[in-house]
Amino acid sequence: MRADHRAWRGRWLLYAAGVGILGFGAQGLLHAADKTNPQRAALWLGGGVLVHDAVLAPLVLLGAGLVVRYVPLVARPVVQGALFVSGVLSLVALPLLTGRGGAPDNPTTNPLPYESNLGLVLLVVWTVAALLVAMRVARRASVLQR
Amino acid sequence: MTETTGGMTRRGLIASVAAAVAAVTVTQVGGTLAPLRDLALLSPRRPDLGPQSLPVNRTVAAAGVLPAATDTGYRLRVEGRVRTPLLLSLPDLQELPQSDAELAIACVEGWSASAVWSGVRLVDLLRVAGAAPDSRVRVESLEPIGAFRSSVLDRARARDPLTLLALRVRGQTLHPEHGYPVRLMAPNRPGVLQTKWVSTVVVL
Repeated sequence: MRADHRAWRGRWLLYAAGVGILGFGAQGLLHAADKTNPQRAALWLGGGVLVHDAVLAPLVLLGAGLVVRYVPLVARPVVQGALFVSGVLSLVALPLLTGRGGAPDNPTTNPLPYESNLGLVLLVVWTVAALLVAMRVARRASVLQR
Repeated sequence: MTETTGGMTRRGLIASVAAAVAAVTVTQVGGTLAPLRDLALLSPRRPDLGPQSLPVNRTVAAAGVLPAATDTGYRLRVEGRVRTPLLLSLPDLQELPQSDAELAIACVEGWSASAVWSGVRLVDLLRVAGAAPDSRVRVESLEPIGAFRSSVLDRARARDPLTLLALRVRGQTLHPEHGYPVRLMAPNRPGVLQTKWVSTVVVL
C-alpha cells in the first residue's frame, strides 16, 4: 500500500517535471517567434505524429506480418533486429538521398554518393545478420544432437 | 518468461536499439571526428571535402561579396576606441608579423574541421592601433546583410595570441569561399562567429 502510494507520487512528480520542461520549451518557442517559426514547428511536431501513425506504423505492421509468415523461427529475431536497424539507417539517410538540407550552390553539402553508401551499410548489416542466423542454426543443431 | 511467438525478445529489442544507435553513430561521427571520416558514409559533410580541403557553410555567392573581396582597392579598417585608426591594404597586412595557429571551424550544424591558419594576430593589430586596454572588438564582414555578418570578441579572446586575422590556410592564400582576403579565426567559438571577408575591426 505504502509502496503503491510512493510510486503514485513519483509518477506525478515526473509528470509535473515533464510538463514544466514542455512549458519552458513552448515559452522559448513563442518568445522568440521571429526566429523559431512556431507554425512550422507545429507542422513538424504534428506532422511527425501523423506520418508515424499513418505511414510508418502500418508499414511496420505489414513487415511484421510478412516476417511472421515467411521467416523460419530460428532466424526470426535476427531478421526483425536487422530490419529495425536497416529502417533506422534508411530514415537517417532519407534527407541525404532526396537532397534535402543540401544547397545546390554549395557542393560541400551532401558531397557523398549516398545511394551506394547506404547500400554498402545495409550490406554490412545483413552480412552480420546472416552470421548471427548461422550461429543460431549451428547452436540449435548441437543442442538437438545432445 | 515463456516464448509464445519465438520472435524478438525484450533483450533482443534492447540489443537492436543499441545496434541501430551504434550504426548511425559510426556512419555519421566522422563528420566531426577526423580520424573516422572514412566511415562517415551517411554524413551530410566530410571535414576534408571542399576548397582547400575544408567544407563551406555560407558561400561567397550567397553572401554576394566576390566583387568587394577581390577588389584591389580592398582596405581593412581598424576604428573605434583606438589612438590611431588604420586603413590597411592586403600587402600592408602581409608585411605585419605573421603567426600560425591550428584552429577548428566547429559548425553548429554538427560538422567540424581543423587546419593551420596563418595571418596577423588580432592582438598585434590592436597594439599598433593603440586600442583601449579594456576594449572588446567587433569584427564586421564585407557581407552587406546576413545574420552572422559580424561577431564580437570579449576582451580576453580579442587578446588571445591564437586569435588571428587569417590570410592563409594550409600555406595557401584563402580561397574566396573561406573568406578571402581576411577571415577571423579564434579558438573555441562556433563556426558562424569565425567571420569571413572581414572589412572592419571596431574597437568597442
